[in-house]
Parts: sequence; C-alpha cells; structure tokens
Amino acid sequence: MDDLLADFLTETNEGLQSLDGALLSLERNPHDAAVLGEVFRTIHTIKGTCGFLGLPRLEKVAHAGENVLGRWREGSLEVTQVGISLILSAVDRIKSIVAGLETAGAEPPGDDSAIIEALDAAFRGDVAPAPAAAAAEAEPMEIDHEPEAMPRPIIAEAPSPRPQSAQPEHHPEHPAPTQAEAGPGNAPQTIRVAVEVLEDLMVLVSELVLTRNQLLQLARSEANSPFTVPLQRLSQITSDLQDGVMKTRMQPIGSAWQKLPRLVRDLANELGKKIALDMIGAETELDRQVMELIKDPLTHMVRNSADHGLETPEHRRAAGKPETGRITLNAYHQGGHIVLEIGDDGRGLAVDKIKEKVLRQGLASEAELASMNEAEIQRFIFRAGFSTAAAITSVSGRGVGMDVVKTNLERIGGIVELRSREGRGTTFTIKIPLTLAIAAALIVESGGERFAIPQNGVLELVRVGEGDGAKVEMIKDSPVLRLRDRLLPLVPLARLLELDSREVSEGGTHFVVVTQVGSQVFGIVVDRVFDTEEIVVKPVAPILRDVTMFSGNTILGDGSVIMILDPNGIARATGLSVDGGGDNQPAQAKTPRGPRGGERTALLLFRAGEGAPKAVPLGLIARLEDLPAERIEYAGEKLVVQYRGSLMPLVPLSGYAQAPVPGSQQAVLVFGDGAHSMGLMVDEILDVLEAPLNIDRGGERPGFLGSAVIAEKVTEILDCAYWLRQGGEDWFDNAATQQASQPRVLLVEDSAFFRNLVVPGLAAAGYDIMGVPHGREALRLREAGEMFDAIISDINMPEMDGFQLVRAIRDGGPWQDLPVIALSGRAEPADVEKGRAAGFTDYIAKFDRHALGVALAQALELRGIASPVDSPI
Amino acid sequence: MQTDSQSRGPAAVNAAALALGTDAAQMVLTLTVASQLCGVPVLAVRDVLGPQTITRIPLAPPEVAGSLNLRGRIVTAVDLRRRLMLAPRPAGARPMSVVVEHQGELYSLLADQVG
Repeated sequence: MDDLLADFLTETNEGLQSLDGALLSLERNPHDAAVLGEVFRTIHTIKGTCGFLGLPRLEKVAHAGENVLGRWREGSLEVTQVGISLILSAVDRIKSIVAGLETAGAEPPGDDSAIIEALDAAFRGDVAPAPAAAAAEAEPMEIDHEPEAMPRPIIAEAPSPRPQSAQPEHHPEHPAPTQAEAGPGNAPQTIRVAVEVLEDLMVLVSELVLTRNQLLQLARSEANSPFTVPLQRLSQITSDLQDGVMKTRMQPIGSAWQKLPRLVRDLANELGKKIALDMIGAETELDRQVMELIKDPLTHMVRNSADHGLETPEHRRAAGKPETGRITLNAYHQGGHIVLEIGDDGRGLAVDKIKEKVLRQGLASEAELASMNEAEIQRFIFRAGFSTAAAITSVSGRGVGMDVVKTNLERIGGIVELRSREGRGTTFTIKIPLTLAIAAALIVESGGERFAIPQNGVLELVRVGEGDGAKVEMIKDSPVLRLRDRLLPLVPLARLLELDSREVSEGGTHFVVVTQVGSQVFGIVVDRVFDTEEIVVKPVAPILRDVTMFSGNTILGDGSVIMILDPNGIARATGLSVDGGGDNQPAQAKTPRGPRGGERTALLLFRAGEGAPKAVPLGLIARLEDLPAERIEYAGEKLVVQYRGSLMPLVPLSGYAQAPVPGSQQAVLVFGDGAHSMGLMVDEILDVLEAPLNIDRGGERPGFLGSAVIAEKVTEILDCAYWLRQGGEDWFDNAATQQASQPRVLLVEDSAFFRNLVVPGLAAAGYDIMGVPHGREALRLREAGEMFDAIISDINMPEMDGFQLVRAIRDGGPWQDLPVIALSGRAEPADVEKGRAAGFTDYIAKFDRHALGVALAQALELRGIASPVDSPI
Repeated sequence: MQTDSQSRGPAAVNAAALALGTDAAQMVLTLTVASQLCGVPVLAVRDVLGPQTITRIPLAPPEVAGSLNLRGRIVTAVDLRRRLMLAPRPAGARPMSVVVEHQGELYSLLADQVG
C-alpha cells in the first residue's frame, strides 16, 4: 500500500502543479476545450485513484470539482471567472490534503463541507455570479495558498465560521506561494525519464567502460607514464558512473509482482481452490531489462503452482493440510545475483507419474530412470513438451511450460532449480544476474584463438597435464577429469569448435574451466587462461545466429574482437545437458544380453571392504543414495533406514552391521521393485560405465558371481540375489555353479527389474540368455532368424501377453517345438492348467529361482540338450 | 578514402539500389576480387579500410572470414573470394575492407584492391 500511495502522491503532485497554470489559461480563454479537457482529466484521475486508495476527503472534494468541470465541458454551464476561482480553491484544498498525506501518511482531519457545498451549488447552476465586492473578503484560509489574490465570492457567501476547522494544522507557517510548496516536502524526489534515455545512457557508459579498459591496457604497457594517475582517476569515475547509471535501471521486483494477487485470486475462483499468496522481498531491486524478461516466466510459474501444485480444498483436508493453499514468492540478493523462489505447499511432483510419462515419450529407458535420483527425474519437467497434469485445463497443462521458462531464463544467464517433495510441495528457485549489460568474463585461448567465458557460470580453474597435478583420463573416447572424487566430463574446446589443435590426451599443459549449467557440471578444456575482463555483451551478426556456441561478441581492452562462449550452448551441443530443450537423445532400447553376446552392459563400479573394486549391473539398482549417518538406525541387530515412508533394511557389504560415524555420509545402493526394497551399504561409488560383462568364475565366493575385467581392472561382480536375501526378503534360493556348454535362452519379460535380475543370474549359471521387453520383440527375433533352445515368458505384459505369445509360437515357424516356460506371479493349479492348455511347457511362479532352474533343465533335457547346471540355478 | 555517407540510412541504400541503371547519378565503388572487377553502390559504403586484424569465428559459414572492430562497432567480415567462389587468396596477401551497411548491420567485404 505504501508504494501505491507514494506513486499516487508523485503523480498527483505532478498533476496539481500543472493545474494552476491550466486553470489560469482557461480563465483567459474560457472556450479552450483542450485545456478544459486536461483539467477535467487531472481532477478525474485524482478522484478515481482516491476512491481506490480509500481517501474519502480527497475524493469528495475532487468529485465535487469534477462535477462542475463536467458541466463546463458539456457546455451546459458557462466558464466564469468566479467558477475558475471556485475550482482553484478546490485545487488548493486538494493540495493541502495531499501535503498532509505526505507528512502523516494519512488524510489530515478536516471539514470540506463548505467548499463542497459551494461546488455543488455551482454544479446545479443556481449560484448567481457573485458580486465582485465579495472578493474583498477573501477567505483567510485559502488566501495563503493562492498564487494570486483571486476573488472568491462563493466561499465568502457561504457562512464561514470555520477558519480553524478545515485548516490543516501544519500549514499556517507556510506562507510561501504554492508552487514552491507543491514540490513535496519529503515525498521521494523523482522525475520521469523516458526509458530510451536511460538505455542510451547505459550504452554510452558501456562504451566508456570499454574505452577505459583499452586505455588502462595501454598504460599498463608503459612504465611511469604521466597518464597513470589521471587515468586511475578516470577509471574510478567511470566505475562510479557505471554504478550510478546502473542504479537508474533498477526497479523493485514488486512491480513485476503487482498483477499476481489478482491473477491468483482469479485462478482460485476458476479452479475452485483456496489460495493465499505471500510475497516476501518485494523491495529487492533488479535491472529493468532483466525484470521485463522474467515477468512472463514468473507469471507462468505462479500459474503452474496454482493449477498443478495446489490441491483442491477437499484433497487438502483429506491430506491433513489447511484448506487454503499457500504460494510463496521470495526474492533476495545473493552476490551479483537475484534469487527468486516460487514455492507452494501443494502436492509436490509425483515421481512415479513423471517416470511413466518419460517412458511413454521415450525420453529415457527404464534402466536409465533406475539410475537416476529423484531430483534428476523431477528435472524431466523441464523437457520440451512435458506436462504432468493429467487433464489439460484452460490454465495450464498444454505442455508449453517449464521448458520455455527454462530456456528463457537460461538465455539471460539464469538458472532454475527445483525442489519438490511429494505431498509437501514444490519450490522453484531462479537465480539470475542483476544486470545483463556488463559482465565479468574469463579470457581463454584455444587453438590459437581467444574466447571469453562469462564468469558467473565458472566454478573453478584446474591445471592439467604433466607433473603431479590432475590428469585427464579417457573413458572410451571421452576425456574426463577426476576432481575430488567426482568425475567431470570434459569438453575440449578446440575439438568442439573445430579448431586445429592437438588432442587433449596428447600431453602438454591445459586448463580446465569447470563450469556449471543448471545442475550439470562439466569442464571446458582450453590451452591458456589469461585474465578476467569486464565485457559488454553485443549480439552477434544475424548470419551467425545459428552458431549456438556463442552468446555474443565484444571488444576487448586491446581493441580486438572476441567471441563470447555460451556454456548452455556448449552443454547442449555436447549432449551433456540433462534436460536440453527438446533434442532428446535417442533412448537406446537396451536389451540386456548374456555374457556371450559381447554386448556392453551398464555397470556401476564401487568400492566396499577389502580387495578389488566391485561392480553391479546398473539396471538392477533402483537408486543411489547418500544417506546422512543420523538417519541410519538399529532395529535389533540390523541396520535400517526410514525410506519413502517405510523401513528399508541396510546390508553392509563388508559383513559387519555397523552404523557409520555420526556426521558422515553413507553411500547406499537401493534395490527394489516397488513393495520391497533393500539398501546395500558401500564405501564409495566410483563410476558408471558400459563394458562387456565376461564373468570369470574363478573369483567366485558367496555374494559374488565371479570377477570380470572392467576398465582394465579386475572387478568383482555382485550376486544381487545373494544380497537381496541378506536383506531379509527370501526372494530366491541362491546357488551358482558352473558349466561349460551354453544353451541359448530367450527371456520375454516387461519388467526391467525382473529382467535384469534373471539375466545375470542365468548368464552366470552358464546360459546364453537374451532378454526382451515384450512379445512382439520376441516374434521379431523369430522373423530375424534367431534360434533359441528355450523361451521363458512372463504372462502379464502389455500389448501381447504370454498366452498370445505362446499361441503365436505354437502356430508354426521355427520356434514351434521349443519349450516355453511361463513365469507368473500366480501359480495356482488352475493357472498352471490354463497355461499348459495354451501351449506352455511349464508354469513357474515368479521369483522361484529353484523351480525355474529345474524346469529349464528338464525342458532342455527333453530336447536332448545337456542343461548347464545339474543343480538348480 | 572515406565516403561521406554516414548520415544515410539503409533507406537511402535501397533507393540507390532501385535506381541502379536508371539514374545517371548512380555511383559505384569499384573493387577487384581475384582479378574480377566488381562495383558496390557508393551510398551503401560506410568506410574503406586497409588490412585489418580479423578475429576468426569458429563454426561460422565458410565465407565469413571473421569479425573486426570498426571504431567500437563489431563488423562481420565476408570473404568475397569465397562468397563468389573465386580462387582462394594467395597466402600472405592482406585484403582491403569495404564496410557496407545492410539492414542496419555493418559488413566488411574483403577485396584485393579498391578503386
């Protein structure tokens, strides 16, 4: 309200100042419609705003005045000198009330009935022009403020026994003429300046800064130059000027929020929700240009919060929350950035729904999803065309949502982060630079060319190369940097920009500019790093707009032109960006295959206990967690953790159930398939990589299937089934023995988890096993001429279930006589009967590994193939 | 060598282009690219400069030689030899810059000889 009032006062004072002059000119030319219109509008605006702000005294006076002016305007009343005087006295009254408002922040008490009566009388037209004689008895109260001693007969005519009543107390000591006073005492001294003037100033200052930099550079090369001292002074003044001009562009963010309360109110009505909007930090200032750019994304996000985020009152009540949902906007400064939070206490992002949608749209495979943590999955909402709203409402949900917001913000160097807990709400955090005009940049060289990298995305600089320092390692063909136990993907700039240069791996000293884009951290490899310099970002020529690697260009202190690299563009170009706008990398349909297939399996490498590093197929792991030690508790002898609303057993790989030291973090591999979950405590997660899984059974011991050479290191392969059983869930019988020959087995199973469980198990048991996600895929293999010795199929699968598949197999073709074993969650006698009728050779309950092994062995035996195992798998 | 067209905007340039061949007052600045004589409407020319330091722009179209600094403005340099598919410039030869304005943007046309 205070801001509004201040604005009103500034505006009203401006209007009032011109009003006197306009009225006087009207007096000279009573038929000047333009001036009359202007006077009418000014008074009308004041009246309207007063009503809105709840200033009844001002409103009444202005209203009465407006009535008279209205009749003048219509021409139904003659503009007379007396009338002008009357309006002038009304204007004076308005001025005195406004002055009171400025000092006290509220309307001063007082009685305006006389002047209103006089105005009303004039409005009715029943007041005869007063005798000039009355002019002599000018109102004592009015006269102080009158620029000229105007005759005011009407007022005089009204019995006026109230020189004190309407007199604002603080006024008598100001006998000075009004003009001086209308310039408000302690109202903010502001003038209106056209935005272009400010923009021009900003451009000029930017150029000045550049020229200053150029001069400084020249002076630096010359020792004892007589210019040094004045140049320093010039430099200082330039910086101050830059700050000053920058300030003129600053506006409180509150002005971008003004429309939101109304928006939220309308949305609440439309959606049948109760919504409260809290706005914190409205006075936080930021550059006008930045503000213009964030207005729309901001509105969009608030709209999203109201529509998707918050639940209906019924749902909220059912969830034990207050009926009224809360949207909170919070703005504050942090370094050279402004941070904006848009939060709601609604339902949060449903990870499962997102997963479902990701799979349906083919944005990632199930295995990839399994290796992602919650935050990574939630970030899918920033992908193009992604909307989780089940129904498209008129408000939002058309899928042109968060990706646009994100792109727009990134364009101005901002980042969006997201924090959400299901059932508790979602908070978006936006971080944007305070100004776009001048930025600090790091000047680097690569392939003999210099480039500028905006400093706000740069985390650190690392020198790599010969010597004891950090080294670039190669994973397959991609260079990486191991930095404080973190693997950073590297982008060699010379290669990216197709500059001729030596390969990074070929030694020599390089520098890695560690850069962050969103949540993605990566390193840009350059040959040299020079200096930081303040640059003014200029757009590139239109013919270069397609080159997304650059955000602009600029002129350096030495006068040369330099291209400014865009870290976002680089991340996108290299496919590093997790949620790059739209260009979804082809989600590889991963077909887990047995060891003999020679195909690569995504493996998670970790360290636990003594000896070689360990590995486990990534597809088996639901999530990786880093749990604070405090969350791990003892339940009897066992360790447990509260995880997603239930207790999850934790199994130490080292064999000793010992809680970690308080204050430390415990890395945990989470296995699970919905109802069950189990965490495996490991010391450290090393890497994720793809490698052919050739298990050598030599190193076999309980809990490990054997060892394999991964990344040139002997690595033990985890036997998941063993550890799952340690977790207390007796899902399987465990045994693993070896055999030489390898019958080929096809597994048709839609659940990636189960597929990934069976495939390594059977593979380790000596079968050459291939897994496919559904029946159609299996039939495609048949058409492709693939041959197997046996088929294992799930029953409940989308598109084509197990029964349909087995019928298709039995209908003819090369697979006609193959043993087909059904796997099902239910293995009641009736089901078994039904299965056999459909053509299944055998019918096994899921998770019954023992039975599966026996059935497989029997089936193969019937066909004269020696089963690889004489004991159950 | 500076032409006095600083005050003329693109409109004037277009008018000049339209008037090409019809108006006797049409003036062109001649330049040589790989011994091919070319002309540029003189009203479009903002500057003629000697050899300049040109910053390469990676990934740009091949005819874009780079960008240069013209009194604080960034000008995109277009290699006329490559644009006109003429023989590449012999090594060591340093081209002249004819700075022209097109749709509010400045471009430098790299030519072997001017005038």
